Amino acid sequence: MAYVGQLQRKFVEYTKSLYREGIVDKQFTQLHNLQDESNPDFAEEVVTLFFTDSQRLLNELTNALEQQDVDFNTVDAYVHQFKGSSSSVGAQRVKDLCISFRTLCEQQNKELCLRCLQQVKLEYASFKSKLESLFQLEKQIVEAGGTIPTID
Amino acid sequence: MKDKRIQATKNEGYQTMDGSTGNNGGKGEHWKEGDSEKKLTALVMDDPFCSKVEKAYLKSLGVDVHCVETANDAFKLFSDGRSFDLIFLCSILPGINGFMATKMLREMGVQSKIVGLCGLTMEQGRKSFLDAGADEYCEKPLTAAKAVHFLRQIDPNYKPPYSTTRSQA
Repeated sequence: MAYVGQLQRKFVEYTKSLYREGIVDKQFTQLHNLQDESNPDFAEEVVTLFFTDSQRLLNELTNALEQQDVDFNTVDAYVHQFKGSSSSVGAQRVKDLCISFRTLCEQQNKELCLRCLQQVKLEYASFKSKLESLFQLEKQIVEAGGTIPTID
Repeated sequence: MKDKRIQATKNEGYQTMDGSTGNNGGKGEHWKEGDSEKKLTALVMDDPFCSKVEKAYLKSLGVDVHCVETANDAFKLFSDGRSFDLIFLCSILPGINGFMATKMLREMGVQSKIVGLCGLTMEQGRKSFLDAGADEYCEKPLTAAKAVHFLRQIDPNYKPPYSTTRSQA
């Protein structure tokens, strides 16, 4: 089944590139490796849940920062949560941006916070689209009768 | 996932009907082939997303996990007589926050090991948790390695289940 082998190689290469570019970190590996026969879609379930949760947090952040009088405690709490969830899923760049974002919250700088939020949204969108491609590859491998290679 | 842990205890096929041994007063499962007779139990108090991840790591380590989203849900469990070896709670919870929840759990007489979780390293957060009565503090994510560290504090003989398929850092 040369086709399966090809897909698997593509999967491995793509995954490696995600690590190289810092899109994901080893937390993602650990999540992925929690998958087994009784829980074959675990990583995808977790990441999908992250997408839903993130959308909510990004909406809240946008709303909070667009207020006339920004309540930075509220903004801070959302950034805090987003950092927690992005680090739990292994979204390295998103997580790192949250750390910077937090500093800007402490400085209560609305302008810079808004700009940081923009960056977070862009990084998040990139993470989302790349992970969706990765899961698509996984589906193709399984449909072709192959097994998903382990990530080291 | 099959538990391939070497059985150090005798293998006599008894059943724990309600799991009430030691301080594991919670509802235990029926003893099954391959299970240890005494699983460590954990309560996770966090948002649904983080809970899902934390529960998965703890389960993979052979821990029985229960998750709740609010402090009030946790208080109810304890009032109902449940108990857990370990409690992980996030600083941010809807309603009563993690720091206050820790304080109230201690006031209720809960003696389980409490680990406070924060999304971001905050010296203030760490201090707040410890002042409220938490035993430990941990920055998210709660990885398998960090969890093992806490489990060993409860049971020095604790060993993670042998994993045939995947490596766990």
